[in-house]
Amino acid sequence: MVDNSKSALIIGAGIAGIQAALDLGDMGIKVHLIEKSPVIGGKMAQLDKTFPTLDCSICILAPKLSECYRHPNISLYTLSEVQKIEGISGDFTVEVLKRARYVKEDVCTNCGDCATICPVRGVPNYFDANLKNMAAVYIPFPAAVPPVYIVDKNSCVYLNYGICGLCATNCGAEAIDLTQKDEILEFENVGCIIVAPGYGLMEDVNPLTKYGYKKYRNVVTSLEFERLICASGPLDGHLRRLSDGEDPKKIAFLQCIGSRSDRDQKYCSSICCMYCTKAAMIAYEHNNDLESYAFYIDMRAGGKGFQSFLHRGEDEYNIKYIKSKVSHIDIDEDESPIITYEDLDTSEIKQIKVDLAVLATCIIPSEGIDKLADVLGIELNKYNFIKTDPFFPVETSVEGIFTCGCAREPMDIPRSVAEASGAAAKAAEVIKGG
Amino acid sequence: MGLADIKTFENLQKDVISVNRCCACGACIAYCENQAFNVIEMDNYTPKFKSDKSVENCKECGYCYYICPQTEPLLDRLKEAHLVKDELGNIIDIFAAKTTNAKIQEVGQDGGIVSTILTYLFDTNNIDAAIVSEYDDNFKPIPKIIYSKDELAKSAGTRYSISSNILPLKDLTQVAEEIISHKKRIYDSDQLRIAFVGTPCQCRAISKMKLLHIKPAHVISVIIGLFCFENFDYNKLIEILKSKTQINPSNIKKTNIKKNFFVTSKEDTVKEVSIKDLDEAVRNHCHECDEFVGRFSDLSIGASGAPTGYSMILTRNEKGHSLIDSLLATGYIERYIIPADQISEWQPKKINWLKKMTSLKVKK
Repeated sequence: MVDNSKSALIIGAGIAGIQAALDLGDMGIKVHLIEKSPVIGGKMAQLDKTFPTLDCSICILAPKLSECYRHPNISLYTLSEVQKIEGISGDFTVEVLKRARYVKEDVCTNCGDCATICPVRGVPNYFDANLKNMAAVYIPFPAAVPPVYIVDKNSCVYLNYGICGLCATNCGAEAIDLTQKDEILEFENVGCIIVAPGYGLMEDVNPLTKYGYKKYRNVVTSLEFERLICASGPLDGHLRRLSDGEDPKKIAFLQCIGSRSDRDQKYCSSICCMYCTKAAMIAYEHNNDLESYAFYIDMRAGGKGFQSFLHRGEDEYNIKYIKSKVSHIDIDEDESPIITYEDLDTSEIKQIKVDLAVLATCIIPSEGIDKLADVLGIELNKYNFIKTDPFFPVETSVEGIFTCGCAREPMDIPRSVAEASGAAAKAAEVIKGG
Repeated sequence: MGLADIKTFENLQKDVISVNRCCACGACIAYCENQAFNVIEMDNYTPKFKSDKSVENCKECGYCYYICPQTEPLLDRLKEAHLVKDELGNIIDIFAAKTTNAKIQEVGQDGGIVSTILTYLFDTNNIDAAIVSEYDDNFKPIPKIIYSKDELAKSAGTRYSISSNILPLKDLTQVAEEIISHKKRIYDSDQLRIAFVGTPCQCRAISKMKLLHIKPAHVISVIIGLFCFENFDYNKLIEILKSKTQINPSNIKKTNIKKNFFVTSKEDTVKEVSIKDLDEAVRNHCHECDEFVGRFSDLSIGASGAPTGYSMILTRNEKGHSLIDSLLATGYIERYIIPADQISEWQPKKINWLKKMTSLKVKK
C-alpha cells in the first residue's frame, strides 16, 4: 500500500459512530466503519421525530448516511463484527468477520425486483419493530444506506432447502450471489478504535408482561409506537389501534418501564420523559381531539429547552401529566387498556380507560456488549455499560480505545453527537500525534 | 442440491397428476397465481398448463412440486417441524366437546366445534376471514372465503366430495379488498389473518407452504384439520346417487354416513345407499393416503370416536391448545365429562380407536 498512515476503526454506525467517522474522515484520517446490521443509521433512523425541536429524524440523518457512504476516507463494512484485536494504542491489528449478504454490493441497483418475485412472506422486519412482514430478500427501509438488498439467511428457501433461486434469475443486474460465503477481513496499522455500539431494547419481556405487553394488542412499546406513527412505517403514518384499526382518542404513556426499579434496571433511562412528550405531541398533530396521559414518577427535563418543551406539551398539546405509580393494565371487551394507578398527588387508587397504552421501555446495554468487551479487553460497569471516568468521559479502560454515545450510559441524540466529536478529537490526537 | 435438480410442474404432472394421485387441493395454482406467473389453472379438479405457451413461460422455480401434499421431498422436514412420529402425530390433548351455541347446534354436524371456533375467532377479532366450503345449487361443494360469522351457517356440516379449499387463496388482493370493504383493520394484503379448514391432505399442503414461509399461506393464521376417511369424486358420486335414489343433485338437502350413505331430499324423503356401491366413486388419491386425523394442523377435529352429539378435538401445538383453552374458558364450547369409572382408560381407548381407523383406511 502506498498510503501506510494509521487509520481509525469505529465499531457501530449509529448516529454516534457516523458522526465520529465523518469528523475523522474530514481530518484526512482513514476510517474503517464496522456495522453489525445490514444498514447504517442505528436507532435514530427508526424514529419519526426528534425532541425538543420536533425535527424529522431521517431528514437530519439521511444526508449524514450518504455522506458517510460516499466519503473518500471512510470504508463501510456492514454485516460485520470485530472478532479479535492485537497490539497496542497506535498500532492495533483488527480481525473482522464480514457475513455474507448474498447480494453484490457494487452491482445491486436497489430496484427491488428480487423482493417482488421472492415468494417468502412473513419475515418480521426488525426495522419496523417487527410490525411489517417482508420477503426473504429485502431492504429494511427505502432510504437505507448502503442502498443494497440483503438475503435473509434464515428464511431464504434456496439457502435452506436448495429450491427456488427466483431472485437470482429475475435480477437484471445479476447482483444476487447465493453462493457468497462469510469472510474474515484483517486491518493492520489501526491507530485507535472508537466503540459505539449504541443501546439495546428490552427484549426480555419480563418487566413488560405485567403491563400486558404481547398479551394485549393495544399495549405497545415506545419504539413500536414510533414506527406506527412514522410516515414510512407499517401504517403509513396513520395511527391506528392494532386490535381493530380504530383511531385512538386517548393514549396513555407509561414511563420508567423497566428502569428506576429495584426489580429491573436500577438506573434512569434518561430520555423517556422527553420522548414520551414528543410522541404525544406528534400524535396530537395527527389528531387534534387526542388526549394524552403521561404517568410519571419524577419528570426529568435536564436539557436545553427541555422544560419549556414540557410546558408546551401541557398547554398546547393536551397532555396531562399524572405523578403516579402504575400497578397494572387490564382490558375491557373492546380490548381497550384500563390502567390502575396510584395518584401520588392525592394518594388515591384510580383507574382510567384509554384506547392505546405506550410503554416507555428503558435503554439497556446493546446486545453482545459482553462479547465485544471481551474481544477488546475493555471493562464494563455494573450495569454492563462501558466503564468510563467522569472526567475522561470518552476514554475506556484500554489506552487507544475510545467510546461515545449510549454504549457508556443512556443519553439523547445531541449528547451522543457531542461525545462522538469528542471521541474523534481524542482519536485524532493519538493518530496524528503518534 | 443445486438449481439444476429442481423439479417443476412437468415433474408434478408426471409424478402426481397423470398417475391419479392429485387431491385437487389447489396449492400449486394458488402459489403460482399469487406470483402472477399466469401458467397453470384448475380444470375440472385437475391442474394443468393454461396453454402450450405456458410451458415456455413457466419459471421452473419448483415450488408447485415441493408444496404438493402428494410429493416426498419436504415431508421429513415437515414431520420434524410438526413433531410427527406416528400415524396420529403430535397430540397435546385429546378430548370430546360440543358447542354451547343453540344456532350452531341446529345446523352443525355432531359437536359443531369448527363453526364455533370460527365464531369465536371472528368475535374476538382474531381473524379477518375463513376458508370453508359450501354447497352450490347442484350439491357440489365449492370453496368459499367468508368474512363474518353470519356467513357460517351455510358451511356447517360435512362434505363427502372434494372441495379445492386452497384455490381461493390465488387472488389475495381481491380477498384484501373484500376485507377492507367489511372493516378497516388492514394494512396490506400481507397482513391478512385467515383461518383454514380442510382435509388432512389440504392441511399438509398449507403446512408445507408455511414451512417455507411462502405466499399465499403466510396469511393463514390457524389450520383446522378435519378427520377424513376418504373422499368421493363429485361427478361419479352424483351419478351413482341419481341412479340409486332418483333424487336430482339440485334436490338434495343433506347427506350423511351412518354405516351406510343416507340422502335426504328437499321434500324430506330419506333414501339409503349401500356404502359399498359408492366404492368406485372414491377418489384414487385417497387409497394411498395414510392420514385419517390430519397431523399437520393446529387442531384436528372430527366425529369419529366421540360420544353422540360431541366432536373429538386433538390439539397439536401451543397455538391450537391455547385457542381451545380460551373457547372453554369463555364458554363457547363445553367439554365432555368422562364418567368417573372410565377416566383412566378413556383417552387411551380413543387413541386406539383413531389408530384403528387410520389402519382401516390404509388397508382399504
